[in-house]
Amino acid sequence: MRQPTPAHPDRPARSGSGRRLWFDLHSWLGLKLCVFMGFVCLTGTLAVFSQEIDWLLHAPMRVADGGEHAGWGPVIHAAQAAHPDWELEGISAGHTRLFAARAQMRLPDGKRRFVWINPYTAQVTGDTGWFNTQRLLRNTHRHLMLPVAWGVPLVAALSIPLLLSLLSSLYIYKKWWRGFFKRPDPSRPRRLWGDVHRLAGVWSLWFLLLIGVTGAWYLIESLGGDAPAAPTIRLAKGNDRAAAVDPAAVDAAVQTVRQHWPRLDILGAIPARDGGSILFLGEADAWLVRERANNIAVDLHTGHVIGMHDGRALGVHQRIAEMADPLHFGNFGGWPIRLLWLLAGTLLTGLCVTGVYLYGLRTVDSLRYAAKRRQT
Amino acid sequence: MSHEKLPGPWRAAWQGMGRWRWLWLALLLVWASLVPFEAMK
Repeated sequence: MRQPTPAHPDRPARSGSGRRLWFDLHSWLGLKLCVFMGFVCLTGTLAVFSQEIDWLLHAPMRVADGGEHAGWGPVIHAAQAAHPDWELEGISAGHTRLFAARAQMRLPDGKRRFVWINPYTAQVTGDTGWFNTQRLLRNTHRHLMLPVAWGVPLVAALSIPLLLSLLSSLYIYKKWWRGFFKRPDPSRPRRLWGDVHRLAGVWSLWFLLLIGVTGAWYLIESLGGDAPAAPTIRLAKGNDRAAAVDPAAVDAAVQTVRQHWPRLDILGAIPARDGGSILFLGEADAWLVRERANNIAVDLHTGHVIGMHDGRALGVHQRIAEMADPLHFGNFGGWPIRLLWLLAGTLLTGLCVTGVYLYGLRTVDSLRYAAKRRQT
Repeated sequence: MSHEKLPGPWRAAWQGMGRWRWLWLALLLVWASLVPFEAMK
């Protein structure tokens, strides 16, 4: 059924006026893309707390805060001793103090599992599958489970209509800066939902811009504009697996790192496949970077530092690449920032829903008006 | 006088999406069918 174009939201605009064109663009983008956009916004919003969801679902991830950490050596030893035929690919500190440390291990059949270790007692609490809520939400939000080469550009391309929706909204909503505290008018559904849509819109403008810009970066990255990784990252790679990692050598390496780089808070470690060196990752002085931007590699046989990279030493291209994830995920300032991202993501998802509902209300109004005219 | 039954707002919006709705539904189906494969990795 072909339906009439809904009337303008506030008052009739002159035909062909700029504002009308912006409105038509906003309405068209919002309506045609709402299912896809809403789905991606919803999965991204839930992904903010995906680790906490997994924490609730999987008992091995939960530990009581035990004060002093047992150290990386004992934690690595516990994981390797519990599963001697599994290969340790990497280990990361607990997400918060109530999370177990996570060892990513590869099984002889090539599949991966997570082994969870209490970081305070260095005892294995259990293991869980590779696929979890975090993986489900991350891979859905990032590339819809499609091959990465297709899925990432497809999802990241949504940044273009997202930014166009933002831009058009500023033209449509006159004096939008006065709308932050405008109470929705409940007198008519169309007015109520229009007010709710505009209220959610003005409060999430900053987030729309941030998600749109970082999403556009992911699009550029997926099309070949990605920045090179820090040269020390390749030290974590290597040849065939030769031996398990020596926990005592890991502890000695941690001491070496503390002497060389006291400001580095180690949050993860990747042993080389041959067991001869280890790359530590973590937080230091650089602001808004991923953990991998700060890394230091230590030879486990000699105890010497074989390479390090400070996140402050990034070029412009790498800086942009490193900033995108923390800004997009909201994981740079603890749970209060992530809570803010969750709320803003909820508003964004709500904008998709209320926008579509508004279109429906306007269309029904137009149809009702047209029917009345035919009857008179 | 004929009484036309008007669609509800959700139905009107759904119809207003035109062919795009089938594209997104197809994409959702592809996604749903890929989830078990991801889970088996």
